[in-house]
Amino acid sequence: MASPERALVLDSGGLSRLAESGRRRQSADLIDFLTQESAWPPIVLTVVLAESLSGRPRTDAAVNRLLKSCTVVEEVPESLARRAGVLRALAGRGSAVDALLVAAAEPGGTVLTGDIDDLGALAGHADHVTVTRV
Amino acid sequence: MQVYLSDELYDIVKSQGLSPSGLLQDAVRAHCERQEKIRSAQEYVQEVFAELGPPTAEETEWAENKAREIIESLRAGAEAVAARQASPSEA
Repeated sequence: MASPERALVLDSGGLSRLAESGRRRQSADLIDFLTQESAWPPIVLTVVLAESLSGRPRTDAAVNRLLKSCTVVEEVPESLARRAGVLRALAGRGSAVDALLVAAAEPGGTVLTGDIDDLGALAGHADHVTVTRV
Repeated sequence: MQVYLSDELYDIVKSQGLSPSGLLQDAVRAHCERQEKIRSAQEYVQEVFAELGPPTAEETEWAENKAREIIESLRAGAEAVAARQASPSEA
């Protein structure tokens, strides 16, 4: 398989599922495959951390460990926020965070999620963005 | 340290008034950060397998299929964007 050149983006559901205790081994195997294909690390916007973390060490530990292998993006540029607003208006659904994630995957990227619903609707109006459930 | 730029790249850098030093530093920094993340991913995978044992055939089948699905979607996205850039009037 050729090396991907487009953005891989994780939402909170995707992050949680990859770190989920009962799925950690198959998720690690997936990460291994993606790393071999130069598709890892994914992008994680810091707003996703607000949805994924609780401050409870026991539940946060697995997510934090996984986050070390991700590219955490701390800035949301105005252009990205504006694009997210447009996508949200076009889709007529989805949270601001969902819209930011789909905008961050443009053009041609993929969002990994636990629930395709709203992200899929947003991606339908985006520039060749795919949403995949992990 | 000396860095070679092809004539084509040199012309682009000059015509756009870019800073070669700044570009190089950004590129090296991005590359090193990416490599660090890849190392962390490899360590994570080894830690999980050491703790839980190697994946079962069923788990590997799922992971392989899911990885293929993700890679294909990324490739399709890249091809769509490249095609548009090659024929902007068809966008």
